Amino acid sequence: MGESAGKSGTIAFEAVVEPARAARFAESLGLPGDTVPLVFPAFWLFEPETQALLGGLVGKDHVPIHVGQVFRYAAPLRQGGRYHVTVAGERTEVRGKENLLVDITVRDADGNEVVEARSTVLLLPVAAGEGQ
Amino acid sequence: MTVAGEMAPVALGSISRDALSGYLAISGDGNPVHFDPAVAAIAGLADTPVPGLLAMALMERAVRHWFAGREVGEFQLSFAAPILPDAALVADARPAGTSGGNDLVRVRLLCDGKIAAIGVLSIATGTERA
Repeated sequence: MGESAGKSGTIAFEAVVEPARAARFAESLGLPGDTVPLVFPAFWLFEPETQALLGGLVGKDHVPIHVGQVFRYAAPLRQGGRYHVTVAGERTEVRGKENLLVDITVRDADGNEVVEARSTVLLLPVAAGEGQ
Repeated sequence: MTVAGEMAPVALGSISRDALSGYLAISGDGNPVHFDPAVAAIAGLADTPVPGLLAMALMERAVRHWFAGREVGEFQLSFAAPILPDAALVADARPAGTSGGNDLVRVRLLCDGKIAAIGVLSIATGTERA
């Protein structure tokens, strides 16, 4: 097992579905501008504090390739809605392949679960000849 | 309410390089594999791939076409092959039974006619989108 397997981290923060951002994204997909696209919760993976966590788990010696995604919705996200977001990342190794599993949990202001999501990211070594 | 026996494939068009750039700006996705050919080459790719999340997002158009007004309970997708800019994308689906009172649908994303992603949708039975 690779020495990074089992390495993990968690971060929690408050987030808002910025209406202009959600509308711009929805319209770019050909969806009504007043909706929040289904994949929007994953955008919170790209926030600077989340990237600091996940970047540390990936390391500079691997390239992350998104290979799987699951969203489970208890309620729709709303434009302008304020949410509590928890992101947990863990390095794993399966059959010699290194992965990063990233779980997102989104709750509303009352603590009710809104969305759960898991991203499965394959980590490819940067060293020449080791890529797929 | 049940899933219709036939769900016609939905042509989603293609994702241009401009659209890809726009997505990267909106989302904040800074993974260089999506814009740096040298990094894409490390992954064995001849070109910079479209983010899986963007392809999944585009499939929402098909989901809304097939299940207008119904809530999505779960959307799961596995990316089987890289999706490259300007490739023709088509979503198709077929019923896969029920679970927990929800209709299940197997979905595929075809990229220039080849399977690029497969997955499962769970659609709440008879509920309306809020």
